[in-house]
Parts: sequence; structure tokens; C-alpha cells
Amino acid sequence: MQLKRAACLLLALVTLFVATGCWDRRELEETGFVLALGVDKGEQSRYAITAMIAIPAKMAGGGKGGGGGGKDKPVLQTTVEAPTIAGAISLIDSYLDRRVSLLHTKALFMAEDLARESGLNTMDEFVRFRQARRTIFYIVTKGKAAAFLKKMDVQQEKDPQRFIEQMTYNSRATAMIPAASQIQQFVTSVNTGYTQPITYYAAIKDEGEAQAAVPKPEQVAAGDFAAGDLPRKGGPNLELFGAAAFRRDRMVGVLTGEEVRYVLLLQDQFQRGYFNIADPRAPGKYVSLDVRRGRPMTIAVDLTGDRPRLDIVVSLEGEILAMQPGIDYTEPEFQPRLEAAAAAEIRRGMRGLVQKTQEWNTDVIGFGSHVVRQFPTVAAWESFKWPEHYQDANVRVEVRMTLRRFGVQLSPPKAAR
Amino acid sequence: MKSRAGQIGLTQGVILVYAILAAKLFIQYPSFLINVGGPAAWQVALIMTGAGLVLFLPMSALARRFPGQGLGKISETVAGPYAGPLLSLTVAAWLFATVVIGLRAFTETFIMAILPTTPPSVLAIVILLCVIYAAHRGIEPLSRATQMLFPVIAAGIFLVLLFSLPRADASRLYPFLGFGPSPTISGGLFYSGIAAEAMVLLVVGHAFEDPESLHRSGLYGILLFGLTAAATVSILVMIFGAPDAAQQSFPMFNLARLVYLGRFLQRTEAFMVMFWIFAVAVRLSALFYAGVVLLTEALRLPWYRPLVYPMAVLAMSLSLLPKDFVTVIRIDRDWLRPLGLALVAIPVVLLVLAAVRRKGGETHAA
Repeated sequence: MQLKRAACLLLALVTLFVATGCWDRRELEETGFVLALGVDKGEQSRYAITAMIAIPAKMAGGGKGGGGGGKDKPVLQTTVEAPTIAGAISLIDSYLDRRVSLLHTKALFMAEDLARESGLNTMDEFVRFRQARRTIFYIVTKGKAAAFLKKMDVQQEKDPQRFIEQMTYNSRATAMIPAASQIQQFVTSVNTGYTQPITYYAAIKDEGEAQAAVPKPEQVAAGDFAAGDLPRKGGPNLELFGAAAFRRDRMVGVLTGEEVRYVLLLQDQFQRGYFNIADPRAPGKYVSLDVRRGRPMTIAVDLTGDRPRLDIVVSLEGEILAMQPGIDYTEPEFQPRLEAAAAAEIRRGMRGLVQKTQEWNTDVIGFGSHVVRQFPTVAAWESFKWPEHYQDANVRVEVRMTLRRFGVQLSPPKAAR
Repeated sequence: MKSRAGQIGLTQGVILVYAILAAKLFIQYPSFLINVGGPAAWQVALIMTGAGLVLFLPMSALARRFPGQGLGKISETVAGPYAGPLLSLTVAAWLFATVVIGLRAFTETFIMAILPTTPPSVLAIVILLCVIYAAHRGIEPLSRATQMLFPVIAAGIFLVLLFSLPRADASRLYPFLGFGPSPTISGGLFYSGIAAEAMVLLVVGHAFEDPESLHRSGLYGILLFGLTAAATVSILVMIFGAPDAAQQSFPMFNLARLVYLGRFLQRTEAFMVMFWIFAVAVRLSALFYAGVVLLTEALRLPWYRPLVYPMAVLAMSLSLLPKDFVTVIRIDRDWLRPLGLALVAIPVVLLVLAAVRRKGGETHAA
């Protein structure tokens, strides 16, 4: 019995040593958590990699000004040139007292010129390297990623990472950024080829520059801009708006916020968003609609002709938010006209989007996900080469808009007439 | 052989088979199925299950013919004092090889995913201590412990699958026939060797309450595993796409890393690792115990426990031999799986011999 007890005691002691995981022990105060990475073209090496590293003491209290814009920054930022992310980490480790870790990295910012020229050849590192997660947001920046991270001033939040995460939730409310833009979606899109990747597109708002820019004609659509061009003043200087469209791993163009809405509508991922519709009975005036997804989208694919043909029906429901002086659309006899006008406008936007992506020869909408269902086997699908057919596809869209609600007021107030 | 007589019932039997098989889902096994089936990997899983159920029937018939006896004793009775132990040794060798490869796969994946700088031998020793303890205690405590751990193991699989659903895209399950009917069917049949792992039940047949419990344990366990495997590979394909999922050495872990339900639920892989350890410990313990018992019976030793420690040391040493993780995966996929399939011929041979020689059944009872 005593021998048994001694054995148990010995086992418990051994367990104490083994269970601590001491080989992989890593103290928090010895670790430099990279919150975001920026990748630009390097001068001496392939990439100039910028790491935004948290300073936990300043994040926990007292730090003013988020990101790189505040004076008492909760993050430090450093840039090294290296051919790979791992190479950059090694270099940063050599001159920082804390060991750099990607375990809490939330975003990867990539300069637009690099995204267009060569894509990120080190994407494999984000898939293979255990520290990196596939949930990292992939964001293309207008201009240099390093400058973007440096200038980023998120104001409301101490933690720039939290700001970015919160911004991504806005896709549900505004529908002007893609539904998702993480390494996971990017890699899966490239691998399967059913749809081409689409990522967030961000820019730093330089108000001085915006004032000097050529004024645009009056915009009907609220989101007919890309990041960096929003007509605004004040607020955080970061804009996450529109999207970067890719063909495989190379960026081919920028979609405006409005176009992203049409992407979401055609992907059947649209939740809701406000649309400005030109009043069909009162030129120069607009009706604001809160548009929601109606019945699930239907898509019929016909591959029997020379060109693939896709017939799409999108059903939407609308609530009138505002009518400018003109017609009272709460009256049933006027409603079909407004419904038709809204449907036509949205359809026009979709046609424009399809045409644009066909010119770029990239199916970022993901029609391939529907076309693939026509093929019984992988070999048949691969031999069809959908990406090559997309340019010629005949895409017909029908939009069905139904006005369901009219706000908390029926006829417009007299003051508005 | 003096072995611990037990009273394993239907529930414990089902859970034991399920745990032994389902532990494979935590490592590279789903990738194997996706590799052969592509988008139609779920069909491979279902064919594998159907074929596995059919292959289990001879084992169950053998257990019914020789109630209260394990495979070692049955093979000696049926095939004689020389061929019988030889057949038992063959099964024991396969079970032992499965433990060796499972042990190395565990250490490698653990190092890759969680503890990159911990020496492999330390991890192997820790899991082997569990295996030794479980084998030392015998099949009945092991099956009861498995019953207690079952909710955790099942939750480990199903919660990850459930929380991953928001990312799933059903279009990735197309083309519907994957690489075509022929590769799908042949792939399903190739992996139907899962029945070989269910042979553990036959090895410990003496510990079952009755042959009917053993029969139903095997069938229900394989069926449950097959459905879980089909659901797992479907969700993996719907999330990663077949080309990506087929190349992952650790798809369930990657799936757990993807769980991202806002700011509130993410980084769930820490739980996943815990469930995974339980599942691996149960699987390796059961296979190791069955191998040692069978070896004991083949060598006509009176008691299995003296073999536990040397066999554990041997398993540990052999597990360190493969050069790298890819070698481990290839040995598992290209050698152990087909050999397992071949192994299920042994109960068939024994059943035919028993019928020819009129051993077992009513004759035996008489």
C-alpha cells in the first residue's frame, strides 16, 4: 500500500513538471503582439513589411488616440524589408525586446500597387504558419500600407484592431463592403475557382487632398465612391468602403460601395441598405428606400448555346424612408411606378457591375457557384473552364421590388411640399 | 489467459467503437476521404460506412458462434494450435502498428498546432502514460471511462461543426459526383477497413454481456461514426472547398480556428485540443489493450499485464522512427488502411473454417 502511495506521489510530481508546458511557456510581458501587418513593395528586398505592435500598458489605460495618429500611441510601428513574413519577424525580433507573435494579428493591409502587380506570394505563410489565423482580415490599401498604418487615427477606440473589427460589422448595415474578407475566403476562392476573390478596400482620408480633387457630378447613389473619395469632413481618417476585385491572386480593379451592394444582391447575401431612387414622376427629386432582401434569389443557368446564359431573379422589399415634395407614394395607384423605377435603377446598377467585371474578366460575384451545379464531375467542370467563359456570359437580371412599408407617417407633411 | 472478466453492455460497446473511430476525425482522416472523393467526399464516407457494416457482420457472426470468447481463443479453437496464434499475431501486429502510427501522428500534430518547441518524446510519454494506465486497468474501466468522456468527445466534434456552419457554402459540394462514381465507390471501399478497428470488440468478446450486445455495438458504432464522418467531410468541403480541405493535415483543428462568431466566440481551438486529447487517449488505449491481449493469447501467456510495459516502450521507440509527418500520413494511408481492409478477411476465414470443422455454435455448446 505504501509503495502504491509513493508511486502515486511520484507520478503527481512528474506530472507537475510535465504539465506546465515549460518548453512553450511564453510570458505576456515578453511577447510583442502584432495587431496588424502592412505589406508594401520593398526597395532592398521583395517586401517592406510593417508591423503594428501593441503596447499593452497604454492600451489598458491612459493611451490617447488610436492607431498611429495619436500622440500617446497604444501601438508601436516598425517596418523591415524581407522576402517573407517569417523573415521580417526574425528581423524585428532582433531589435525589439519582446518576441513578436502573430497570434493576435487581426488584419493584413496590402498596398494596392503590390496587389495589382504580383499579389501576395507569401499567402502560404498565413495558411501554413501556426501563429497566423485564417480569420485575419485581408484589406487592400489605396497607397502604401505602411503610410496607412502610420496615419491611421481611429479616434473613438484605443485599439485600432477593435475599430477595424467593428467596421467590418457595418457590412450588414450599409452593404457597401463585402460580406467577408478574411484570408480564409480569399484562399478558398482562389483554390476552388467557383468565385474570384473580393476584399475590403481602405484608404486614409486626406481632407486637403479631397478638397483639391476634381468635383464629381451630382451623385444619385449614396455609395457611388470608393474608399478615400467619400465626400465628408471630420471623423476617423480611415475609410473602409467599396472593394478590391481580384482575378485569382492579382487585384484587377476597385468596386465602389454601390457596386458592392450589387455584388451582395447577386450573391444573395444582401441584408438591407438605404437606396436613393430618382422620383419617376418628379424629375430632380428622390425617394429614399430602406431595401431588404425578399425571397431568395433564383438563377437559371443554360449552357446549351454558344454563350452561357444566366437568368437571375432578385426579389426585394422596400420601406419608404423619405419622399421629397412631389407624389404621395403611399397612395396605391402610384406605388407600381415607384416599384418599377426602383427595380429598374437597381437592375441598371447590376448590369453595370456585371459589365465591369466581365471587362475585367473576373467573376467576383460568384456565378461559377451556380454554373458548377450543371456539371456531374470535377473533370467535366474543369474542362469547361468557366473563368474563360465568364466574359461572354449573357447575364439577364430581373429585379422585383415590392413596397411593404411607408415609415411611421402616411402622406408627406405639408411642410415638405 | 487470465484476463479481467467484464460486463460491457450495448451502450458502452457502441461508445467504445464510436470513440475509437471518431478520434481519427480529429487528425488527418477527413482529408483522406476528401482526397479520394473531392466534393463528393460525403458519398465516400457513406459507402465506407455501408461496406464497413457488411465487413463487421462476419466478426459478429463469429462472436455469436463462440459466445464469451475473444478472438485469440476463437482462432486457436478454429484454426488449431499453430495457425490460430499466427492469425492472432497478425491482427495484434496491425493493432500495434496502428497504435505506433497514431502515437506519432498525435505528437506531430500536437507539436505543429500547440506546442512547437516541446520535444516529441515528452508528448509521446504523456499520452503513453495514459495508455499504459488504461491498459493496466483493463477493458471494463476503459469502456466506462470512455462512456464518461463520450459527451465531451462528441461535443468536441459537433460544436465545432455547428459553429462553423455560418461559413458553409453548399455550392462547394458540387460537382455532385466529385471525381466520378468509380473513384468514389473504390475510395469508399478502400476506407471500409474501419471494420478492422471495430475488431477490438471481437478481441475483447469475453468482456461483453452477450454476443447480441457485441453485434449491435459494432453496427451502431460504425453507423454513428459513418454519419459523423459524412457530416464532418461535408462541412469541411463546404467551408474550405475540396482542393484545400484535401491538403490539410489537420482539418478539424483548422475548422476550430475559424470559429468566429463576432468578438464573443472565437479561438475555440483550445477546447478542441482538450477533446482531441481525450479522444486520442481512448483510441490508442483501446487499440493498445486489444493488441496486448491478443499477443498474450497468441503466445499463450497466463496474464497480459507484464506485456503492457515492454510493448509501450516498443511503441514509443517505433513511433519515433518515421522521418517526418508526411511519412506518417503515407504509412497510415498507403499501408495501414489497405492492410486493415485485408485483415477483416481473418474473421471470414475463421467463420468458414468453424463451419467446415463444425466448431462453435451448438456443437461447441454441446
